[in-house]
Amino acid sequence: MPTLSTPSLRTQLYQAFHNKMFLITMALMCLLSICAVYLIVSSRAESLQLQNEFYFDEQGIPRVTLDIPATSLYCKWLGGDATTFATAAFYLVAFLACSIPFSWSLLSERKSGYDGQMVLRCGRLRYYSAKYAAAFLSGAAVVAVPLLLNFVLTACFIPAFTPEPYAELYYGLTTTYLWNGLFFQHPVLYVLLYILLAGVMAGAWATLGVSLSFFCRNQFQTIILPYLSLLFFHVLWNSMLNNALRCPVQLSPIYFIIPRELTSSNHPLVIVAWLAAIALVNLLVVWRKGWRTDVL
Amino acid sequence: MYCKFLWFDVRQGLLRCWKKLLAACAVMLCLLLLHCLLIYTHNTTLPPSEAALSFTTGDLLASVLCGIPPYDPVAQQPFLFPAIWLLFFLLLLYQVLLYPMENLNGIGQTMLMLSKSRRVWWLSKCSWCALYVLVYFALFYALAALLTLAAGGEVTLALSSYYPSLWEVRNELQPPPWDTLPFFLLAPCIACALALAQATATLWMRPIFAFFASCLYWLASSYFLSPLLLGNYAMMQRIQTMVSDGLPCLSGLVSAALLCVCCLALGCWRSARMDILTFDY
Repeated sequence: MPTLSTPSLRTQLYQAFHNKMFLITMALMCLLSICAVYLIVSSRAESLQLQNEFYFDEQGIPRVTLDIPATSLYCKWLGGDATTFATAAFYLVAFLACSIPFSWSLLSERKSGYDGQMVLRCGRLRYYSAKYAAAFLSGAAVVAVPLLLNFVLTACFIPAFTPEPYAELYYGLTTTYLWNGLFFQHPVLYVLLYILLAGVMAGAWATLGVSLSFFCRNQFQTIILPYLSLLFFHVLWNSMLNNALRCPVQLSPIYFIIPRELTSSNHPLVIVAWLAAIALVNLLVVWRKGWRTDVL
Repeated sequence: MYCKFLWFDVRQGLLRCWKKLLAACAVMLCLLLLHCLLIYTHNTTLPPSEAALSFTTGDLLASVLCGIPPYDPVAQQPFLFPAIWLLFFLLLLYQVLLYPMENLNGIGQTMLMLSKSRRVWWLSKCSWCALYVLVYFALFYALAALLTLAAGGEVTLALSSYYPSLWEVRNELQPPPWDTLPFFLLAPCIACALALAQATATLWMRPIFAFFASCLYWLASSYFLSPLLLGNYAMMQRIQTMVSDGLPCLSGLVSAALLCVCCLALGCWRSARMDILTFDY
């Protein structure tokens, strides 16, 4: 019975987290999140300076404006501000970046014949499950770690005013948005949950690349095709299906992993359905192509 | 020599890849059908007294290539990226991404050594890339024309007078009729220039990171209104022939031409210095 400490999993995890593709992708995503901190901190400093210059009462004391909570950490970190380029860029490329670290690995080993060796030594179940687990974790890491880094760095510069319900207009959240209640009671937990959600969805998406390895001939196809498929689904859903089906829920992961509501609300069932569908596809592919075919 | 190289590239990278183009056609058809469905649903909900809307080929093409109006972050509205427009161009960039490097990693290496000219190899790859973009756009335009015919619309590049009302145009629209031909000629030129830029980038970095950079560049084009971000010229809603403060088509054409020349020169310089024997993309 394979366990987390099996040599195969350890080997795959080592490969996943120590290859050049992982390191470059992680560096790029972290760079994006650090740039976002710089941009948000510099623009906030300018606006606060303007506010200090012009917003005084009769006694010369700066006025406290209603939008102060909206300039807090929870609205200004990468996931909290949907008006910045960095946010759009990060969440758009997240589903591409997640596949870069390790989704190509199975195809590479299939080409070299290494997979046959590994299957003979540790068994199909252990080998394939380790491969999927490593792809999941590395994919999740390149999305979740930069988000976490951004949140921590932004917290170093911007005060974390507790979100106030009276200023909900600025937060871009409706009452139906997932974990909305937490945002006002435990905002840090809300942020952490959305970082986790982004990581889990990205990790799950990265495993689709591993499944594609059974059908593709080029490693880059295993990275880019799932991404373009997601973009295609995003177009279909947001341009036609949600109107045609009159569905108020956002089904596209590109939008529903963002902690701010963009076009429509998200729903926990949608997330579970996506994860179940991805797991089902992976299981079917491994069963048909990995289990029943001769590795040699 | 150049012609032999180019013919080889056309056979290997275009004629043999008909399945890729077929898949692209399927995606394009879906994108075009979205507009047909929009008009169809509008017509089904019309009261009997009102005339049903029809559409032209220009409307169909514009539904994919219109993009979004310039984004204003001060308005505090969330930025929604132009997904249809982005998908159309990213699909093209993906399709032209791999062939040059696959070629250099395979038979192209032998051909390159036998020909003794790296410059010819690179020029042939650039020509192939430009040709692929033209074929991609030709298919797109042809599909739109066929779909218009099938739906009983008018095959013309002119836009219907109602069409821009579907856009969220914030700037002032030029008075109709709009001259759309320059835009429909400019869009493939911009795509060609940026595909060449991506191909040139693959001489320095792995193709996947060149594609990654392309994604960010095209997204930046939709977020920032700047003549330096050439993607702006590939959005109908940002062109001077459509909106009063739009970008002039001529400057887009000049920028695209300049970028193509730079890519050719940089590619020649880089390919002459690359170690092709140990090259692994």
